[in-house]
Amino acid sequence: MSTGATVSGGFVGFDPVEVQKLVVQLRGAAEDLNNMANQAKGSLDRAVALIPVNTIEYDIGQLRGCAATIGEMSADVQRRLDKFLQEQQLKEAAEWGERALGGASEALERELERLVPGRWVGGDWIPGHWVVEERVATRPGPGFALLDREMVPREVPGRLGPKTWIKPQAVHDVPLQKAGKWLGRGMNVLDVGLAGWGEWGRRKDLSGAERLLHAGLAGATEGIASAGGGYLGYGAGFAAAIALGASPVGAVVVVAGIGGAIVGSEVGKVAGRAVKEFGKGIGRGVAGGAKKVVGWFK
Amino acid sequence: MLRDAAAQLRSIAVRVDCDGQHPLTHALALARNDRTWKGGYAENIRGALAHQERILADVAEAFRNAANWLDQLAAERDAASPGPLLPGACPPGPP
Repeated sequence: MSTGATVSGGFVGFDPVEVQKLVVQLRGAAEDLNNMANQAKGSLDRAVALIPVNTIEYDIGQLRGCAATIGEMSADVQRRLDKFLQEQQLKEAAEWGERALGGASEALERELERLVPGRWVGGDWIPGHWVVEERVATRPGPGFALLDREMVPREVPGRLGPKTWIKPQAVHDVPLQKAGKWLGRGMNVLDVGLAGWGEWGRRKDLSGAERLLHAGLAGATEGIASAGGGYLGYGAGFAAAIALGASPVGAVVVVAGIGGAIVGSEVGKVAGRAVKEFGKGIGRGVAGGAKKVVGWFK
Repeated sequence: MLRDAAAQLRSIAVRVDCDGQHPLTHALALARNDRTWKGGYAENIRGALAHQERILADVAEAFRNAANWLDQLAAERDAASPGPLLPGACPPGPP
């Protein structure tokens, strides 16, 4: 007797309804052939009463043999089909049992893990982040409502980051998105340049090298802090707009982000100025100390 | 009697192996359809059914030959037997 796995392995891609039809046809053919063999034997017996005819005894035996073989074939196919269907039912019952016992069962959790960050569809690997959701629908049954449950995979848009799945927070309009990105970069460069230029204009009392040093320090502190503040402000404005109900891919979040960037830039400038003054104090201290050391040697 | 037996054998031969319609016709059509099944087991059943189909063709041929032979025997017996007696005639006596 073959095992369940062998039985299922025998039916690689089959239609149980068609196979059941085949079983019925084979069974009918076996019965027909057996009846024909009996009729042929009857005819032969009548002829033998007159003359010694035995030339087709062998062929009648062949016909009976065919009937027996086809009958056995029919029974074997039926047995394998029953086994297969029984396995299917047991498998489905086990799956439903697991789901019924634990809600999101271990099998489902394993499935969820397997579906990140992609899944196999028709032999092709489809990258992406997938979750399996259960859909339940009712339909009228014989005297009561039946629940139809099915597990449906759904793709979560985004991309796989170093460790986690990053959902997209971008506008649909790619040119607008690119323009916004370059505008932001331009503003950052402008922040640094303006801070340095402002300091250069203010310190006309200093000599060339020292004036340049002050301008550089202002650019590195006020300018970079302003740019950083603008960057953080953009994120804060963007997030605030989403929290208030705006679409993460709409234009509203971009406008909110720009507003946040302007405020953030100003805040960053103030912070950068404080850092610059602190840096100047340290610079003065270092310069004074250096002068003293030089004086000792003089 | 011989002619009846021949006719019956011929009729069985036709049912066993008629062009396109014999007991295995529908079963073979279902078994050979890829939509029904695929795989090694399906191939084995198809092969076995084709073998049985060939055996049936041989059996049908043998039945036809036997029917022809029975017809021939009946004809020979008819030719050997005397014709029907006329009213009032005496049957032939012993030699």
